[in-house]
Amino acid sequence: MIRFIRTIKQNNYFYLIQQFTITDFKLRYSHSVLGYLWSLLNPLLMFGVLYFIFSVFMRFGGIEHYQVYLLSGIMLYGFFNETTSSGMTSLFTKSSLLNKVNFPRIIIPLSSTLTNTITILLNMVILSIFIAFSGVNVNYSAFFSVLILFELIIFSLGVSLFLSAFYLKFRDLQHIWGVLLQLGFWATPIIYPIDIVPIKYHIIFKINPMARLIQNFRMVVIMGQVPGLRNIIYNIAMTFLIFFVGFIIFQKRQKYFAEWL
Amino acid sequence: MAVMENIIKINNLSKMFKIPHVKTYDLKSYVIHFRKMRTYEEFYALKNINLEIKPGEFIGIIGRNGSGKSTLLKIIAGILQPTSGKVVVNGKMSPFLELGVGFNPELSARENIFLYSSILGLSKKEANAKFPEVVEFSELERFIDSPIKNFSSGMHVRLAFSVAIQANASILLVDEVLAVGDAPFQQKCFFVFEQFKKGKKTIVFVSHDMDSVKRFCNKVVYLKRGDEMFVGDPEQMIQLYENETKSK
Repeated sequence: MIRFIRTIKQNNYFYLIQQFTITDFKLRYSHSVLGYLWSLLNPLLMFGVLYFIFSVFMRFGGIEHYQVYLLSGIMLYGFFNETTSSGMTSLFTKSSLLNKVNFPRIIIPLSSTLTNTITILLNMVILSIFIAFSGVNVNYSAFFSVLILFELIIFSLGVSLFLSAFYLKFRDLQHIWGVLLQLGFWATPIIYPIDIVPIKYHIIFKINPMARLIQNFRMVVIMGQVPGLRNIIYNIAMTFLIFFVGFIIFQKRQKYFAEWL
Repeated sequence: MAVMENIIKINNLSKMFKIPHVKTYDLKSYVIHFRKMRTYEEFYALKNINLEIKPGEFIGIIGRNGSGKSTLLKIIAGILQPTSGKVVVNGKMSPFLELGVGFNPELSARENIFLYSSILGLSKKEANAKFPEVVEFSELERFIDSPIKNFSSGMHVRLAFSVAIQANASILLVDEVLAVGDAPFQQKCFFVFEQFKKGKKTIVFVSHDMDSVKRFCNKVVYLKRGDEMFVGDPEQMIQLYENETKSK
């Protein structure tokens, strides 16, 4: 890992990462009229739909500040969804480059993740505006949201590395992962409050990393509580464990990527 | 230095590709062809290749299509892994094999110059500093902000070449470049190659254009097949190559 960081420094790879990230971001919205506004409109439109269904039709009354609760869930899960889906296919979409140029392959999924990071940061601006109007009492504990976002990014990168390394050999992964993301959406308290789920199923929310991160995010932002030390340590450990597993698998397989394309 | 060290040393290099009887990318075909999956043909694109390249040499690799030239170049570049044998490189290698790799048709020439510079391993500072030079060399000032999907193939190559020569590496690996571009531009390219030669850069150059091989290379590798290779001076090797291809 340290050796890896050193090569990144020596070979001006920072500039390459930066160029890839910006290019990706530009290209993603290059032919649409609204451009990158879509990255903000997407979660907001989804929010509109879900809010209407669950607040007006199904009356999920009990939660305080349901709008912020829902929107933060959508944005955080949306980031995970986008990052892992685009990260998985990132190597494949850059196959001509992999075939002709020798550079650390990890730069590709890494810059794909960074592109999505720009989006989530823009989303956070929208969320902040939303919070300002919602009457949530934000206090200093909201600073912890930075740590949680960081964990989310590292976690999503780790999963992307793992997926992209296998995707080249096993293209079904795209469809399998699509289904798993759907499943994850419902296995994570995004639209529903956690209390409507029977206690015996709460174990799902304890082992599901996305549920932990999203719940912690709401805890520090909406409820203004600082998470317990054990909780913080557990989340950091979980995040970095996933990242390192993804990283090691990726680095072991990267030599052969050009042959698998 | 009394003894010139090799800048690239290739030792007993072999590259085998497994050619499966059925290519599987998904679970369904994996299950259906479970038996066949495991059987494959071994195809040696390169076998027991030995080659030593000294600093400042201009090496041309010639041979028919499918003789393993590009595979050899890719292994030197570190893109493909050798099946057996060893490649030792002492020096900074430019990472490009083909001009304009990584160009994005939707982006403008300006954006592509920066993108390509970063792929070639330049830093942000270097890329900014060299930008005017690149534009001038390419003679594309007027079109610098239009997307390159509207460029002709000649303009495309000109742009790519102008950026590629800025790579500050001591070893350049080049796969077929001089074929495109009009006569005055080719003249300019030749001038740059002369400069490289004077600057003691090592160039490995795959080409079908015998004239440019004759003109620049001081050593030619003729790959007859993956397992048969001749090394010698340009005239001799080109003669050999042309005789053999004619007689077929």
